[in-house]
Amino acid sequence: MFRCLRTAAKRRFLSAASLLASCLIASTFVTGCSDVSPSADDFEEQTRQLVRLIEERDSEGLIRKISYATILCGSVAAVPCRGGEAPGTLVEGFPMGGCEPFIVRRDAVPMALAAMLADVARVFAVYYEPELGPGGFVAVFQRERPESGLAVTIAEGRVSSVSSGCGAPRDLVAGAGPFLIAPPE
Amino acid sequence: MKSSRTRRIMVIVLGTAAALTAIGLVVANSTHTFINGTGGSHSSFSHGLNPAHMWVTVSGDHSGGVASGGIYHDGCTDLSGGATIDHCGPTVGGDYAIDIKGASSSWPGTPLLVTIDWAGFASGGTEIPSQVGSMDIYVQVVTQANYRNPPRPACYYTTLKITMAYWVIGDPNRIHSATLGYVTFAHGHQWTRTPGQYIYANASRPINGGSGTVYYVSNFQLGNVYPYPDTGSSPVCSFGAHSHVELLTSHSWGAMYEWRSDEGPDWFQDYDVHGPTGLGNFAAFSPGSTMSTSRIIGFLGGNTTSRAVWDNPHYSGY
Repeated sequence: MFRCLRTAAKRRFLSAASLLASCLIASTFVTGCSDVSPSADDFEEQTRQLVRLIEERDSEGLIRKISYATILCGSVAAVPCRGGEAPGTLVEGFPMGGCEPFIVRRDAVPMALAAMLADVARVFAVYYEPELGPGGFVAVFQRERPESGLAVTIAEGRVSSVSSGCGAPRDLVAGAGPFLIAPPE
Repeated sequence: MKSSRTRRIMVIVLGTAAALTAIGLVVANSTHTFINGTGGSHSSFSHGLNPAHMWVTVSGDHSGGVASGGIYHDGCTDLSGGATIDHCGPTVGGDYAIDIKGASSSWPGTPLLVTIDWAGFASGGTEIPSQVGSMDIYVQVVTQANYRNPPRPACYYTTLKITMAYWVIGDPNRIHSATLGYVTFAHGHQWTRTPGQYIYANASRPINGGSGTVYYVSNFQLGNVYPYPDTGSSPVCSFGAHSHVELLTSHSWGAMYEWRSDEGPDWFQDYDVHGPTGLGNFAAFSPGSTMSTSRIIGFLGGNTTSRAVWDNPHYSGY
């Protein structure tokens, strides 16, 4: 949209409003206005960047790429409220865990994430998971403990959950695919 | 989808849990400690469900190692670095749950086998079970549902109600029954029973310490563990083949083995049971345990309504 408006500024004979309208209408057609939504290639590149961060065990870098969830504290299967929080208070957290994710409070994420990345060895595979939304991927990593892989879900170029300990890397990609990064033979 | 009775029990148990704002160390013996809740050891409601203070064991050979577990296991998993997580939460309102990895990652997955056996009774009940005749364990499917809407393939669960029928000393003409609790198995498929159906006893053995016979459910195949990851929902339902086993007990609030530490209740210790009478020791989990030898997952029943955990003796405050 902003790129459209910048183009409009150059095209002085058109009003900004009319160009904006034309961009909106023509966004599904071939026009001179760029579609600013990330492309599949963009998401793939963003995912590869996240993979590199994880392989480098860069938890601080990865934290900046986290998509936090906002949920109500105090309900079953969610986050217990802390002292001073009334049930139903909105709190921020991040799904982490073993076979099933649970919500880790935002202030506990750095320590937990650093611990989970501490023994990551290298990427094992990355598969497309379109049901996670645009740019949906699951990246699976080998760890120094070969029986235990690390799985990371990604959507729209951001990390949406992290799991460890639910099986060996090959088990974590069983039945999955197609792959952005294929598992080793 | 839960029955009203299940919901009612869950509400009461969770209400009790909410009231437990502090945990006291009340029992110590030569080898372990045992933590009990502060919400009282008994209630008329739970007593009505289990007046004989019966216990049963829950186990099964659905193989694989323990992925996580403990009181409200979700949130208590191994984060591989000792990270302290300040909460755990149940999935279906139970007292105690663990995740067990599925041993197979190919269709149709590891058979999900269930064993429900009698484990004795705790003292103090108003009904003293006769151990001369027979004791029968009945298991009924009460719920089958999916954690997600729309349903996800790895998100199906089924809940069993566990009932015991028995005779009471001094009352030979009337059979008694006790509802000991509920067991939920999740991330399964190809269920062999539907809601309302029973799983009848398929094995028998002499009653421990008695002269009668207990009829119990042994390695009944309830379904299969869904063999693949199911990452197509947010939050993710299952990162890999595993079974989630959750216990909701009528009396004790989470009677199980575990290694409860500063990092949360995430390991199990090979303790013997101090609730059931006259039955000797049960081999239970220890770190790295697998389910391949019918290890006991946990217990239903007992004589308290409070948290009952055999504690890690190395952490005096826990």
